[in-house]
Amino acid sequence: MQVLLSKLKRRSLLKLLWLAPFAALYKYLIPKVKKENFISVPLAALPFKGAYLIKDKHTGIIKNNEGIKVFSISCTHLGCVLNVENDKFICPCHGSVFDLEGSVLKGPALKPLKHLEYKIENENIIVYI
Amino acid sequence: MFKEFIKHLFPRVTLKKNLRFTYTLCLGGLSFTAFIMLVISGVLLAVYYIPEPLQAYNSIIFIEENVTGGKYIRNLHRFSSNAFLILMFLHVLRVILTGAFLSRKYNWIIGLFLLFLSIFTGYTGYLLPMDQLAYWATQTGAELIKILPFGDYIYNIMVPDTIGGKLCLIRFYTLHIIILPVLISTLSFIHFFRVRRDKGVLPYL
Repeated sequence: MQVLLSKLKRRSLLKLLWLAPFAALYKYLIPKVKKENFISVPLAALPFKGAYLIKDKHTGIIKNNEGIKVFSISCTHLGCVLNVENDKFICPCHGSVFDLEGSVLKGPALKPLKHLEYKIENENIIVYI
Repeated sequence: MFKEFIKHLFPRVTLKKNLRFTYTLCLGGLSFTAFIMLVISGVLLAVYYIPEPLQAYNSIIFIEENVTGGKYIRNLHRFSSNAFLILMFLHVLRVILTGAFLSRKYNWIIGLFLLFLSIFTGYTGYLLPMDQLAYWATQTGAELIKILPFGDYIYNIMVPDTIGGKLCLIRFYTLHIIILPVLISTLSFIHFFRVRRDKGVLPYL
């Protein structure tokens, strides 16, 4: 951008005005809605041992003897939301399989699932998405 | 001017070798026919379709079950869209195999834009029924859009909330029924104008 601007002559600056409608259009097309960047789940809602999926937020909370792990359950292949079956994450779209640690057991996905940050506050688990 | 236009609609001279059926196999004209079918059936569908996530699927069911010929029109739209894309691909294949793109580069580029716009129109139409297939196909397609240069910006423009959300659905609907068809028709007419200029034979003319 800097390079592009430095090539621009002082006289031709006004020629950039044709970009303005496009910038306005872009602004118009992105509405000002605050996207919440966290979700809060009461700890009591989690199963004693198993998976709690919040599918519309693409988030899965896994609880077992070792503790709590939080994953983004968007498949790393093309972003479908994973299901849990028999201690495995299974993708409904192209059949990728992940274990409950998030690593790939079967493709087409190549990358492991993304871990999400969380904290526990007042009997609630707060996940940053 | 209008009279002149009508007068010049039919070519004064056509080259005899351009009239052979095997020269074009009528693929371009057939895909334009499919496009006309799509417009007609699409307008008929738009009378009943409701672009709202919770009601979209029900309105499709309503068209299929309670409207005379509704199922026929909907399937016609679906089959025409498949035919449109297949015929276009065959048309591109014909142009490549006969080497026509070498001598008529301008029209080749226009044609490629038409192909991409048509695929994009098909993609935006995929979400509209709001069933499982629609949802997942759009989800995977959106991941592919993100890979494009400036993909994230395009994604944010197309999907302001979530896939299958209110804003997303109505945006896909607008793209599918207004913006892309208008672009396709405009480019088609430039395409046909160039064909005529290069002494080719136009569909229906």
